[in-house]
Amino acid sequence: MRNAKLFAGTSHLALAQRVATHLGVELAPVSLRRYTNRETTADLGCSVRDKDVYILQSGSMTTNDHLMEALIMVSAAKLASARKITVVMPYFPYSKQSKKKKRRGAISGKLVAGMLGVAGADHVITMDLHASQMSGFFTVPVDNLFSEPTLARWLAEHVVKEAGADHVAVVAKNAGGAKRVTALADRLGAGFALIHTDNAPSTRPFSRTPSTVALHTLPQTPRGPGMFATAVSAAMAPGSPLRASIERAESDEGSDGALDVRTIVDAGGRGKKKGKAKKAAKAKGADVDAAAAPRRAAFYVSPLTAAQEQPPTPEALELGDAGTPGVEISEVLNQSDDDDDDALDASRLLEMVNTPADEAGPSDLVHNAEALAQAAAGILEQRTHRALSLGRRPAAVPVDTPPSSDVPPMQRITSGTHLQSDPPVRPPVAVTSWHKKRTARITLVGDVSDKVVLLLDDMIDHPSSFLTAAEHLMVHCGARAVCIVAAHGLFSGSSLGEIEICPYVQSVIVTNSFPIPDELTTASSKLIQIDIAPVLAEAIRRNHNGESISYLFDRNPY
Amino acid sequence: MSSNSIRILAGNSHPALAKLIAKRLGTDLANVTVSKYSNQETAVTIGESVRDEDVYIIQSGCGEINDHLMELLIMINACKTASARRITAVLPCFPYARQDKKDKSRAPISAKLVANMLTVAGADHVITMDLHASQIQGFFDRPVDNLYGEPSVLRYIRENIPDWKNAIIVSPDAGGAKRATSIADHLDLDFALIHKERKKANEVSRMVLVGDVKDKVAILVDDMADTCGTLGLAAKTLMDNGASAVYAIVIHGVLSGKALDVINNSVLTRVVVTNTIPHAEKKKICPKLDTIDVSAVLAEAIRRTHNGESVSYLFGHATI
Repeated sequence: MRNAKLFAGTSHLALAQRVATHLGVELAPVSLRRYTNRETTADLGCSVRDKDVYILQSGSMTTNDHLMEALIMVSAAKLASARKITVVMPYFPYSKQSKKKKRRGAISGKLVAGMLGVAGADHVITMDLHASQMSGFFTVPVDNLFSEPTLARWLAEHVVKEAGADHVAVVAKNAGGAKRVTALADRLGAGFALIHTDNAPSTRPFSRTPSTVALHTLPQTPRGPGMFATAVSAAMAPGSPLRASIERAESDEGSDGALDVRTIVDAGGRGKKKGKAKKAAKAKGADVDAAAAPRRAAFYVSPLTAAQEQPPTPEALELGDAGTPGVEISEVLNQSDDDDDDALDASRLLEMVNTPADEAGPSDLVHNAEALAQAAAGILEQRTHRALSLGRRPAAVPVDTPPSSDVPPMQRITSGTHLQSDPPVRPPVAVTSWHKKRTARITLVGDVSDKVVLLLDDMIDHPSSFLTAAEHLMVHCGARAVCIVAAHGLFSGSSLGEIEICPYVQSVIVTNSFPIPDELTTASSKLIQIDIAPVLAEAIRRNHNGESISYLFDRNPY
Repeated sequence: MSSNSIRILAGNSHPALAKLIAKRLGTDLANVTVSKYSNQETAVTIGESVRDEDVYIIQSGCGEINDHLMELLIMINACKTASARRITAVLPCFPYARQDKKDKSRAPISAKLVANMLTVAGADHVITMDLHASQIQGFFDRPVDNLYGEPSVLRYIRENIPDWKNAIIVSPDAGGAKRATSIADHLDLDFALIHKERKKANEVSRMVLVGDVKDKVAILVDDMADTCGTLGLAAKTLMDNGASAVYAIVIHGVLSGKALDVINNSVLTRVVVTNTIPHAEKKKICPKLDTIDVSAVLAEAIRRTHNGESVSYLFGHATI
C-alpha cells in the first residue's frame, strides 16, 4: 500500500500482525508507554505527513486503557499531519450499550463514536456491530464488516458437510437474535429455531449447568480448608494459566510498553504449536487428560472466590486485585443479551455474594469440588474417545445420567428429564436452578431433534445463557450436538472453563476479533477460532484503493 | 404569573390527536397558522406569545411526510427565535425511522439526518413512540423519550379479543420476535415466528412458520404496517396452519398503497392500529380496522416532562 501506514495498538497484536502479513506490509513502529501515574502516551516512530494512517485496535478486557490508547494514537497522527486516519476496530468497545435500556441508560456506544470523531478519526472500520444502527452514531463514514461469510464458510465445510444440511439447525437463544439466525440458516440451507425464555421478572430465567452450580457454591463457603485452598494455590502455582495471565498483566503494566516485534511473531507461531499440542494430548489419551484435570479444575476457580477468602494469602490478594473488579462488572453486564436484564443481573450478583454460608457448608464444598474434578476428568476422558463426532450423536455426552449424580443441585436440574420423540413445539420446561426460588420457563420454537445445533449470537462473553440453552436443547429437545457460534468471543473470567466442563456443548466457534490470552485458548479444547484477518486486510486494501467494500458483505475475500 | 406553562402546538399532520392530547392536559391548542405560499413553501405564524414557555409541538410522520417534517422544523425554529424556554418535539410516529442503518451498500441513514435537522432547528427534547429501532435515540445528542405502545396493546388484547387466553402471539418477521415475545410473556401466552424471505422491499416471496398455531387465535404483532403485504400473507400462512382466527395489532398503521384492499380481502378478522397516524377516513373504507387511543400516554408523558417527573413509569403501565 503506497502512502499508507498501519499502526497497531497493544490490544490485539496477533491479529494486527496477521492483517499486516495479508497486506504485505510491516506494522509501522510506534512506542506506546505508560507513565507511572498510568497515563498512556503514544509516539509514532515514522513520519505520517500526508499519509493514510490505519490504526488497528480491538476492544479487550482492559477496554478503557485500549480505547484511550487508540484515541491518543489517532490524535497523535492528526497532529502529525496525516492525510486521513482510519480506525480499525474489529470489536467495537461499548457496542452493547447502543440504546437506552428502559430507563435512564447511557448510550455509551454513541459516546465512544463521538470520542473517535473528536480525536480526529476520518473513517472507522469495524465488524459485526451489536446493532447495525450504531453506524448512525458517527459523523464519519463507518464500514461495518460481517464475519458471517467467513463463519458460514467454515461451518459449511466442517459442520454442514459432515452432518448434512437437513441435520443442521441454527438456533437463537433469545428473540433478539432471530434475524441473525435466519440469515445464517438461509445461507447454509439449514433449518432454524428460536429459544424463548420467559422473561417475566418474577420468574427470571436462571438456570445453570451442573458445573456452574458447583462453581457458584464455592465462593459462599466460609474460608473452608481442604479442596478449596488447594484449588486456589494450584491456580496460583508458578506456570499455571491463571498465574501466568496475571503476571502477564502485571508485566504489561510495568514494562515501558514499546512494541517488541519478536513477541508478535512469537504470538503468531504459538497458535500453530497449540494445535500440535492439542493433537498430541488427544493421542496420549485418557491418562494425560486425567492428569491435566486437577490443573483445569483449579483454573476454573472464579477469581471472586479468592477475593472473599479471609484472611487472604498474598497470592489471593494479588488475584483479587487483578480479578475481582473485572468479574463484578462482567457479571453485571454480560448476561444481558436479553438486553433488559441488567438490573436483575446486578441483584443476582448481590444475592450471590450475600447468600448465607449455611447453604453450602464445608461438606457441600468438598462434594462440589470433588464433583467438579470428577466431571472435568470424566468429560475429558469421554472426549478422547469421541472421534470427530459431528456426524453422529456423541455417545460421550451424558444425556440421561448427570456427570456425577451425588450432587443435589445437579439432580434437581436433570431429574425427570428424558429423551423422547419430539413434536415441533415443545411445552415450556421448568428448570429449577441452584437457587430454589428461581425457576425459568424455556421453550423451543422450532425443531432440532437429531440435528446438530449451531447456537448463534453476535458475541459470547459469560456463557451461562448459552449453557442453559444448550442443556435444554440436548436434554429436552433431542439435539444431536450443540456448537456455540459467535462473531466476537470475549470469554471474561472463567467463561471458557465453564464451557469446557459443560457436557452439553461440543465446541464453541468464534472469530479472533477479540484478544483471548493464549493460556486460555490452549487450556480450552472446545474453542475454535476462525481467522478474520483476511477480511480486515481486504477491507483496508479496498478502502485505501478506493474500491467498493460491499463485495465483502456476503463473500469471502480469498 | 403565566410564565413557563405548557403550550401545545400542532402541525397539520394529525390535528385530531393533538386535540385529544390538549384536552387530556386541560388546555387548548395554541393559536398557530400553518399554511403554504403559492410556490409551495411552508409558512408558519405563531399566533400568541411563547416567550419563556414550555413548548410542545405535536407532529406525526405520516401522509405528506416531507411537508409535515418541514412544518415541524419551521415551527421549532419559529419558537426558538421567539424565545421559548424549552421546545419539545412530540413525534408519535418518527419519520424516516426505517432508514436507520446501512442495510445495504451506500444506503443513507436518513433517520440520523432527521435527528440532526431537529437538533439544528432548535428542539431541546424529543418525545416519540415505538421507534423502529431504539438505537435511534443515540442519533440525537438531546434527550429522547421513546414511549411504548405495548401497555396499551396488552390492555386491548385483554379487553377486546374474546378468547385471548387461547391465543398465540406471532411475529411476522424475525426482526420483530423480541417485541412479540415480550407481549407473549406479559400475557403468559406462547409465541410463534414467521420467517419471510424478502427479495425486494415491500415484496415477500416465501413464508415459513416456526411454532404451532393449530386451533388457536393468532395475534400478529408488529411495530409498523405499511402496504400490509406481509400481514396478508402472514395471516394466510397462519390460517393454512390451522389457526382459528387471525388478528393483527400494529403500533404505527401507515396503511399506504393497496393496504386497505389487502386487509379487506385477507383472512384477518381485525387489524388494530394506534392513532399515532390518522386513519379516520380509512376506517370508513375498511371496517376491519380498529383503534387503540394512545393520546393518554403522550399527554401523560408531556405532563410528566413538564413537571420534571419520571417518565419511565409509562413504559410498563397503560394510562387511563
